[in-house]
Amino acid sequence: MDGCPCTCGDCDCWRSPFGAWYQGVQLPEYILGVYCGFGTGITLAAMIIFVRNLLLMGNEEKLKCSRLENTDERIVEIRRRAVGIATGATLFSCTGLGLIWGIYEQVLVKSVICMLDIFLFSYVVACAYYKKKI
Amino acid sequence: MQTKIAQYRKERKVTQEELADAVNVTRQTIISLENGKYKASLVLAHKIAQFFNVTIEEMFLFDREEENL
Repeated sequence: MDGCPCTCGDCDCWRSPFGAWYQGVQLPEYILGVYCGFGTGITLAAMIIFVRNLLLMGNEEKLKCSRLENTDERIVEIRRRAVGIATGATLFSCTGLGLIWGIYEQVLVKSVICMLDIFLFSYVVACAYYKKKI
Repeated sequence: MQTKIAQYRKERKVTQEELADAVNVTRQTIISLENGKYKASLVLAHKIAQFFNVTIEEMFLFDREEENL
């Protein structure tokens, strides 16, 4: 990326491995757009939540309702089940799509295998942890 | 799981809102408990039973067949 200033300092950054990698990476335009979108979305969401919490602090009744929504066991159970179903659906659909589109893009098959490995590893570790804890 | 929450509530003239506030849940949770759609946790069951000054067994009707025992 020509013309991009390095924030680490000229000489040190040029000599460091990260600097060499940074200078060698050519990011496509569309991925820069995706990163910008993510960052903007997260920033906007944070601002909205911040303003909402500020408004809540001034109103005792709404604060109580908000606290109840986060601690009520029925709502917590609903969210837990919804997350479980959403996780399963995401996993299956990503695997299916990866295996189908992997016919055309080899990297997708590797991504699917990597994702499944991470899922299985996390599941085994979480099971082992909670087995000891409870 | 069936409960006697509605029965005790009407006897003591307590609204769903008041009961919900007393046990720190939403009114919708009380409604779901009364309709038998939601099973309360042990802590919540204990709180509700304590509120009405009865035992958990008197408040919550445990069905052996439903629980496959």
